[in-house]
Amino acid sequence: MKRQIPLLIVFLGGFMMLLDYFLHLGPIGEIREIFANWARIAFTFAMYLGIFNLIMVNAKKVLTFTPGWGYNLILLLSFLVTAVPGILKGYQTGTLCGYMFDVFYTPLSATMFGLLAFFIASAAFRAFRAKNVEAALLLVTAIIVMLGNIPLGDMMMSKIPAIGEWLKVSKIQNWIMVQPTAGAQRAILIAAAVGAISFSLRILAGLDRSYFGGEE
Amino acid sequence: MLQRLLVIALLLSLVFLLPCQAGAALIASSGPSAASASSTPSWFATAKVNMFVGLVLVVLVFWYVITTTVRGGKEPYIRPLAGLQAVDEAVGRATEMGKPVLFFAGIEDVDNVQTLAGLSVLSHVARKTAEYDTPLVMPNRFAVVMSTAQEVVKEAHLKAGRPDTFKRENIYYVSDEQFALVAHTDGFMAREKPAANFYMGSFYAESLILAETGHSVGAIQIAGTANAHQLPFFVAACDYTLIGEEFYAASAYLSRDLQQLGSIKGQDICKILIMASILLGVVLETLATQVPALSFLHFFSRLFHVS
Repeated sequence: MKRQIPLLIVFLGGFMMLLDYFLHLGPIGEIREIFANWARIAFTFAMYLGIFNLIMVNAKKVLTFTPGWGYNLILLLSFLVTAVPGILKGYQTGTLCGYMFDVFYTPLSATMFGLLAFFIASAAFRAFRAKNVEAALLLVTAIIVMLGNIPLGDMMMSKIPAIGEWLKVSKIQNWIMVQPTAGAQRAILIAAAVGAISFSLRILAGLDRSYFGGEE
Repeated sequence: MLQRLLVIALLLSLVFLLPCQAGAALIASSGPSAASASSTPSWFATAKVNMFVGLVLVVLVFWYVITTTVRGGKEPYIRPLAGLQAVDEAVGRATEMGKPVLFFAGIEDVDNVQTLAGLSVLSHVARKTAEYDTPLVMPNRFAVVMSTAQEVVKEAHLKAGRPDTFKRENIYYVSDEQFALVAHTDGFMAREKPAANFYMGSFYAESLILAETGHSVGAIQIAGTANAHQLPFFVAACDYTLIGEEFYAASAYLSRDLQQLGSIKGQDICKILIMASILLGVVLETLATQVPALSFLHFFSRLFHVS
């Protein structure tokens, strides 16, 4: 019973959503709206509970000087400094809360995102080492695609006598991206979509129960 | 029982809905006067009838293949997936080194099917870590994913006969913000140096930041995602990558359950049908475009129009 009831809820919930996608029947739409309202109400109460819990847990750690209490203090102060002006004056541009968002949050996020450029370089360096025929092919293709994306590629080719006039790296790059790459990507996407349908059906039918613990 | 219910419900829907759809199509095709005369709203999304028929066909294929597989009692051949065969090796390595295992279920909520697929893999990984008594750490972006993951890992410890070693605090919430979560996870990797990292779920810009940091600390890394744009990053930075459908098949593959393995076989049959449709579509469209007398062959591509 402990297993059957959650499975039945999953089945009914999933089937209801499926019906809602295909049918425009009033009761189904109403049930979906009721569920959505429940979720909104639960979310609102959970947020207040979460804020209360956050303050209690972190304040307790700060007051008892638990190891790492400094981080808890920073969290509490950041919370207060952000929440109080936000509640009093709003969070639009021009307000204190908006200012903190623009000056602290956005640059910090951009910094993490900016790391990606260096990681791409280091990963590409490893991936493009010509250890075997396939890796060498990847390396050559990558060079063509990179050169095709910048004006330097076509300029270099134009200096080669005889073929430079008509053979453009940008055209080869475009062909690589539009023909073999797009074809391979679509194959992956179609296979993944079938896989997603298969996995969803396994869940709806209760065959795959590992996502809530187990098979028994 | 539930799968039978699903098949019966979909078949019944098909029986009731198709005549309705045929009637609607008849009204629409009988000219503007007839179409303008019927102004009542349709209770069936007529534009989606092709998807509905496709869904019913897929369900029937799956049902047939699963039933025959179970009846046959013989495990169907599934191509070995290196990434999944390496799960034992990765957890074993972490055990030998006395280091934790890091599991990251992507950055989407539990309503994303990739997150559920990730949690299914987590169930198997957690069972291995419980058997080997190795800590499993999982930072989360969403509270619901965290709670679900805690239950999954708890069950895995119970099944492994080690409920005492389950540590709820090892599966924790970090932040809703994508890069705050990434900063924390990178920091964790740099400090604790996990010996095995699993990235299973839906990933975006953080995929390479995580995988490169994991590589720099010397962890064995296994990734799985269906986000095609992130696959090159994982392939470049991880030891093993489950690509798209392999990721969805992972839990069935690991469970060795006949019904689930049968569904993978059904998936392959669906792919064969799709490939045949694509080839047929290419031939018919080419004919319809090149030979004006055969322009009616465009009907085949219209069958697949999605609005």
